Amino acid sequence: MIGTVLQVEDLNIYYSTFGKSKRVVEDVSFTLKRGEILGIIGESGAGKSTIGKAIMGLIEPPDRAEGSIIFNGKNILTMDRYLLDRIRWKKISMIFQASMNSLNPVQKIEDDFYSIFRDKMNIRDKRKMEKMTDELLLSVSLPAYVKYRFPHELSGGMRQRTVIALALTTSPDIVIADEPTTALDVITEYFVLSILKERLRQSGSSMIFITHDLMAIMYMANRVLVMEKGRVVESGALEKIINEPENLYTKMLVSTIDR
Amino acid sequence: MATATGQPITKHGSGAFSNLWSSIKQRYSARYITRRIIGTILVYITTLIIIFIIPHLMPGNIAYQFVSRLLAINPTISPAKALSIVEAEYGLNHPLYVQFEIYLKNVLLTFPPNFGNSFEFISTPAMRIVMRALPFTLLLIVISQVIAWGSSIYLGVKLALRKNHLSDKVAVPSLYMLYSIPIFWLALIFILIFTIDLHLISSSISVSAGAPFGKVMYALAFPIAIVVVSTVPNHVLIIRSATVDFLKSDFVMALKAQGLKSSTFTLKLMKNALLPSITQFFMQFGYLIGGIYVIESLFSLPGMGTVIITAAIEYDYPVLEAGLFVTSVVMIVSNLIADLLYPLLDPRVSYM
Repeated sequence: MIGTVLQVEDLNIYYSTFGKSKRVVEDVSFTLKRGEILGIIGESGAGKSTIGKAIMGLIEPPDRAEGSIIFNGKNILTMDRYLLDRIRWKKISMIFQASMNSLNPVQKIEDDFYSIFRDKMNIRDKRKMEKMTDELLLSVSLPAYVKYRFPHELSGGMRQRTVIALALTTSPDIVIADEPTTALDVITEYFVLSILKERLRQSGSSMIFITHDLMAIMYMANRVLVMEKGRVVESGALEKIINEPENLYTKMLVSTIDR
Repeated sequence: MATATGQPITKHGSGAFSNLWSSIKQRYSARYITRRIIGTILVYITTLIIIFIIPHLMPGNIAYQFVSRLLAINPTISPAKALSIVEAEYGLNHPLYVQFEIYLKNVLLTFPPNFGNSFEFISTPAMRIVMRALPFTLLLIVISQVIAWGSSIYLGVKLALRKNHLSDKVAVPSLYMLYSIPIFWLALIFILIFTIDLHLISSSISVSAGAPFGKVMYALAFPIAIVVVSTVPNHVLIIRSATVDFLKSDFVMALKAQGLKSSTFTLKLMKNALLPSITQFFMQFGYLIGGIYVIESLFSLPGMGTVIITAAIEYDYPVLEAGLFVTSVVMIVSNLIADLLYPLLDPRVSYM
């Protein structure tokens, strides 16, 4: 299909704890179109984040994933490490759930950027790397001195924007945002979301936006998947989900909106 | 909004010396440093007292020991006269508290601290004998620990990354086994295998202080290998378990998702593993020195260990005291350095 960047079919993911296998994602299928923001909403433990991890190829033994996640005609789930590493971050990047903790605590912000420049974009010129870091930080409204700071020296909102800048470093085809604003206060949340939306519009990337926050979904997404206990219970355009919810869980969710 | 306006645009802690200094100022308060230094001085004084007491607790009279040694060299001297001369020379005819006062004056107010002349090498100050041996021991410690530490960080991280693989399952129990072997026994086994059975290395290469560097290294190679083999297991196990812990954390997941080159990935993990290994290193430093002294004496290397053990056997009190004193100072200084170093290496720690 033209315009489709990612196609997920019959995705099943099993987590293994103490030798027991538990299915956390059941027969999930969806497609992601170019430039689209697909929201995935659901309660905690519904398997949203697990789908995000699977797309990054981060489901490792003893856990396993079945089905297919097709990107550029190849199945990510059966890809070898070498091919996977070429896709990771260059084509698909991710903003992690606990973005607060997803920065290495013992290195400065600039080191995070530089290792991506070096390994993913083959840029080695120090001055060029510095300039690019400044530009990326500026694009998320952060001052240049942030690159000389350690993660713990930044506020939550600044760290969050840093992580967004990192995810957009290579202008990837797909950005997976896994609850990128969960730990932030409402005002900072919408500030961060507006920056994210603007940056996506500039780079033309698609996004999978995972959250349990319906307001954030309404602000960001074009299309929505509603998940409950590992299954997709409803999907469709944002307006349809909000105005004519069919599933009981979706109805409950929509009823929380104060109109 | 969470923009940080009004913050000065400074570049701190980025390697150069001026930045190091601003980093130090940022991480420690003057109060912390003062407290730490006062603590160090208290430990130093306590050590001095213990060093003074130990020889007095040893069996036998110090002056008699010395006079009997003199008599062995020259039987014609009169024991009574020699005894009074020796007692006057070393202040042994005074009561204990006066002796302590003289001792403190000699150690604190003179530089280098004066412990008197050696009983064995009669005209040589004890301190000179010890200081001649010190570089040798420091060389042994530094070289063996640089090798052991570097390889342990690499091995520990690699093993943690291979958790649940066969190599990890074999390596961990064997490392525990090696770790539980005392260093002197390990040394004897090494000598048995490499010297007696395989005739590969001579276990007694004689070398004196001040020998050419190449010759010193030749003599040190075998002892260094033993110290490395004996210290690596502990380091590796600590670093492995610390790494296994932080491999579960979010930032490692994020690093994996970035699909960086595996060398970049490992280097970043090694940087994180550095911190627990430093704590471990300084906690083990005392045991390490003890082990190294035994090794030196076993291989008759002219280091601190040989000097101290010989002095203890020969009742050479001044040298024994000087040796214990220098060892204590090395320990105290290294602990102080460790305490001050840690916040510089771990940006999250600050001492206020």
